[in-house]
Amino acid sequence: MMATQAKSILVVDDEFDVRAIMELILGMQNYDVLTTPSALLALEKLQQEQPALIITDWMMPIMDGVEFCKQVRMHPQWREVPIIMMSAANEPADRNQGLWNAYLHKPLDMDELLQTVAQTLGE
Amino acid sequence: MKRSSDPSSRVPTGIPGLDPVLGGGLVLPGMYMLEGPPGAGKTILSAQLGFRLARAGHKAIYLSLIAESHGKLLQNLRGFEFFDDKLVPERFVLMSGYQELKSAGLAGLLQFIAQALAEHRPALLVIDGYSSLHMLAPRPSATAEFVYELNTLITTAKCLCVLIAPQENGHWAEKNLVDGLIELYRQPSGMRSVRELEVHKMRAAAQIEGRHAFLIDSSGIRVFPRLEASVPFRHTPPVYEDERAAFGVPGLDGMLYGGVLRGSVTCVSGPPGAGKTIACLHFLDEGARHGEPGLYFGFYEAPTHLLAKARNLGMKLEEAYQAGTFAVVWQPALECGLDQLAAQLLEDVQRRQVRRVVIDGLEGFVQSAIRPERISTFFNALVGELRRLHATTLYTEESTLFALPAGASTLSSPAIVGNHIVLGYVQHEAHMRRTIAVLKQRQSAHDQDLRECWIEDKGLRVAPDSGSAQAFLAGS
Repeated sequence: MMATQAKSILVVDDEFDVRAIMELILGMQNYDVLTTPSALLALEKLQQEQPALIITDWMMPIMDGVEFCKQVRMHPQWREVPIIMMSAANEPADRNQGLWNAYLHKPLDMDELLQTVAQTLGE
Repeated sequence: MKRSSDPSSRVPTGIPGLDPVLGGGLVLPGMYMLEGPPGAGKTILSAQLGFRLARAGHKAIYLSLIAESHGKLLQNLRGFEFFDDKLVPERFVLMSGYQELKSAGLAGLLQFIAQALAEHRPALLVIDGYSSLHMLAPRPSATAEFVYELNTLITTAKCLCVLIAPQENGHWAEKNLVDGLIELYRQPSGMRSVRELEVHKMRAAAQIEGRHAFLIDSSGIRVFPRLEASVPFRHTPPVYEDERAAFGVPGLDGMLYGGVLRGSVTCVSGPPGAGKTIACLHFLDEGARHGEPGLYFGFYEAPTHLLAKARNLGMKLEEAYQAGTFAVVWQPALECGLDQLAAQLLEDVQRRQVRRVVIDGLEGFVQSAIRPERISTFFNALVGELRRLHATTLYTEESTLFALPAGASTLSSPAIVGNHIVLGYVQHEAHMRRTIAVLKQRQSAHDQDLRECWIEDKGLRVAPDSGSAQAFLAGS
């Protein structure tokens, strides 16, 4: 049987526990998980590797998730990468304007996370 | 999605008395630390919760690090009524995480837990032997980081987590990270060993502060919330009722202008043998004759003796006892906690809608008390709660032989106790003459006289006026 390559997911969150748990949960589903604590570092990482999916926190210092999404959507190479926005706050729907594909409410629910990731990846 | 502050996201522990102390149960998802010395009951409490959830169709994972072996754990739990062999291992899942902790460190253990949560989707994860993490952690902050990540993990998995920790755990930083901190105590008090529980912290819930007694018996753990901190009467202003509850003793009822007010609390005091219990039996008998449920709660008279005494006085209490409208709760004043006694009494009053209550021998509560300084507030809470439940309460309190006129009750607050009847003796020549007086009756006038009384074949008889008492007090 031919082995299928794991899809990579970039997780951007300034909270280390969220990064650690996303890495564990998504890793158990055989996703290749990359994590980064800030949007600026995430943009640097995107220069090196293009993931199949980005999951980003909204409220982060220096560059927040909305601004990060704008940067991704403006970039010719990354603009088609699906994004899941997550936050403890309610979804700022009026600010979406096609920036993200799905929204997850924190604290995360394991089932909801896996289902949303699978749907967004078209699995 | 339900937020943690939503009361509907609370999970009742099912452990009698614990949920009120916790403010309604454990908040889901949530991480709780359960600490206490060896033998305090930490394992039993966790297992009792686990089996309750398992019985309700959920799963509970009991993860041991360096702790009791699984064989011994099950062997010890089998003696409890909550244990059910059929639930092990499908719903009550036992795991050891020590090997992962030892070989792959805290990160390896976290991964092991994440896999277990993903596979079993439990409602509860118990981690026993939590101190092992500190023993094997590479640096002091590593365990705090582990708990921080574990808390996020169990929140994501929507489950409860209980960390079982020893009492000698100093100021572990992770105490700040957990959602609740429950401490179990086991300490000597004279020759007794006292078990108490305290909820130091409970996020998103209003716990009942302070220590609460608990016991461990074949049913598992039973908690008795500290009465004065928990009874609803604290929030209910007293309601005085116009109707009266008579004793069925014409002279005494005359002194009270028809009886004590319903819902009131009456102290019947006097020296030994003055007739306190008999006066109270009249009160219960009069209620029984009118179909009012009654309760005698005493420390010294066994039910058979009490019923025989009533029968010999021509009272109908034995029939009421057979019919279930009258109950005798006899609790020898031994090693029984105050709150346990109160819970027993209040449960019966509530269940049978008791209207007349007699607590015979307030001293029994004093003798049962582990913390005597509580007695006054405890008793006021007890009678206040009885009043809230629409019971009319009499209690007896012993005084010294020649105490007339007796002083006010030393144990109960005048704010709660509305009426005070004093029985006594007066020495007259070579005889002891019995007397009775009503010192106080709140919200009502009463006879101010001291009257002579007698204990006869049919019980208490009170003189129609003060004439005879006046005569022997004047020495004639």
